[in-house]
Amino acid sequence: VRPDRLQQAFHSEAARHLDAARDLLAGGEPLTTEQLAELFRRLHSVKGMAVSAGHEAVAERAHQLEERVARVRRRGKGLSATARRELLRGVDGVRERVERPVPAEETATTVVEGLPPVQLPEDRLDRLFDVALGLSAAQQRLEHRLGLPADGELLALRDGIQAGIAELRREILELRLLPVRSLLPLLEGAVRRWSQECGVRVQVSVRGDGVRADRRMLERLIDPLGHLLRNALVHGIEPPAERRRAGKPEAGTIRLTIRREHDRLMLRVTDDGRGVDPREVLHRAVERGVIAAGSEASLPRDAALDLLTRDGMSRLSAADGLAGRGVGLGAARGEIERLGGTLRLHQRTDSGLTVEIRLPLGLAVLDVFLVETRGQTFAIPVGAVREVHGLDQPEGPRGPPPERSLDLGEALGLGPPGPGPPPRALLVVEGAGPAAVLATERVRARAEVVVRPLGSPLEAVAPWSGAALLPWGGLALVLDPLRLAPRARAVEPATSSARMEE
Amino acid sequence: VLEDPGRHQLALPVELVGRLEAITEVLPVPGAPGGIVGLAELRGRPVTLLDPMVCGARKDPSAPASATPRSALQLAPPREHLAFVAGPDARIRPLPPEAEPDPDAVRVDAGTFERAIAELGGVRGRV
Repeated sequence: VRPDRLQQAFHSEAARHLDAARDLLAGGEPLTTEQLAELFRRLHSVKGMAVSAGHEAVAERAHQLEERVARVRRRGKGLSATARRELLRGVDGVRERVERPVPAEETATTVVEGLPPVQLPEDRLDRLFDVALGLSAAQQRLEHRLGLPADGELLALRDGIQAGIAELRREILELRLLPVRSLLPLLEGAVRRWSQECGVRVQVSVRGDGVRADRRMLERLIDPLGHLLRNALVHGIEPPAERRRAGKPEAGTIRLTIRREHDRLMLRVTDDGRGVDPREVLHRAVERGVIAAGSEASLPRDAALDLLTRDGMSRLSAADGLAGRGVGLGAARGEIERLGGTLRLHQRTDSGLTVEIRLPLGLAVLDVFLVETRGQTFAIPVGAVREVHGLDQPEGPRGPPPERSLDLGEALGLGPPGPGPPPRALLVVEGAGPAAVLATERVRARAEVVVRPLGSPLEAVAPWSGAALLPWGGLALVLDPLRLAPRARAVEPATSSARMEE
Repeated sequence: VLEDPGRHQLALPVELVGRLEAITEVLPVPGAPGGIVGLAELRGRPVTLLDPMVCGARKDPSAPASATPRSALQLAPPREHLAFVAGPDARIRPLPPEAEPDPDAVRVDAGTFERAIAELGGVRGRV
């Protein structure tokens, strides 16, 4: 067994046994003889695996817990509440140790087969990627200057270099992507701690764990995601007794859904807790001058919830029943917006709160339409475009009437259309809300481009989600339809004959 | 010291200074706050071009009003996505720690720089 595989197996298996042990101890009912035996077995398994994998500290601690359970079993008087609490703390402590990176001297050394795998430091990986992209950009510029070679041999050579660079770029990009799920082990220990502190029980489930995103982006997601999970635990999930009274299972659920939406990452955190009363939020918002008195009646339900994330709503007193709700949400929203993302709150009647985050993927290869307006090229992710209509085609499917469209140049603040060519293409673009019809001078190309994040301070500027490296050299700003949405105009759903894919 | 004849002199701490690069094209960014000139592609990376005036540099009144930037001082990691724009004749002159920069030079320490960037980030685009 290779050492890295052994370590992986240890981490996943030990975590599984410890979670099962935790479930046994965290239950409300006294443990039966069989359950005590199972608890003993689980701890014993962890000890055995830790010894095999060279985790001496984990093995020692698991042994102590196992011995304690063995003594309880020998006495035959059942597990006292104190012993149960202490064992639970002990199991959580071991779980945290299992998650920690293994110090070099603690790893197994007796099972090495061949040399250890090559490890690439993160900054070297970033540098390698920069070099590959620089090479790609230089090659594109050179090609642009020299034009297409007439000589067949040179053409083949050019194609070979181009394909090689594209392959290099793809391979390095792949190395930088991590499953979004890899964030969770970093947060699991904290979730356990918070649920203990609040006296609540909770299960965290994850959907869509196959989605991968740029490592740098994921690093910056840890804090906001932590805020949201903490908020759900501290303010959403009720203690077991309260949940029993409400006819809910004793353990609450926090569901994390991860999805890729064309050039964006969508993360949704939903709890099945007590939720928030929008009327109470509105009342407090008026009281604190966050919104003008009288304006609350016209606010939709979700807009009322969004007020919770606004300045001035974060210092609610305990008597409000909303105490602290806004603190974590406001902090999370601030961090998400700094990353060029959005945060929205939703709640169905009589259910817990849902927080939805949408973020640029960071570094990615995207399929985009390159459109021109006022002499500048912009990239629009193909996934966000429902339909494309050419206005100068005498026949073929017609789109929405041009007068219902929004001139892209005007929407971007580039001023009214000048005396140049009139818009010749309409794009029906979808964001989170209603679709927008954008009029643009022309659709120049559809291309696969590398998109790079803009970084601070431009990442906070709407409606841009990054910059695309153009196939012919140079850059184009990538338009984020979601951040253009406030200017969107609703259109009727497309007829099947007018759909883009046709 | 970034010396940009006819424009300004910026005295920057060494840890901020990356390298001086020629730029051929500046991409305007609609909605960007004043102080951001646009984006340029430097070796496959989009780099935000900053007007040195965001750090307090004064423009030479004799400088041509519509001078196009021809070079950029790209900052060192981890700020390599940022650059100060400069003219075609700009150069970097190392200054020993004990030496005083020219009285006309604007001194920019790391704190001033971070504050200037944070202020730019706080100004949301108009779009």
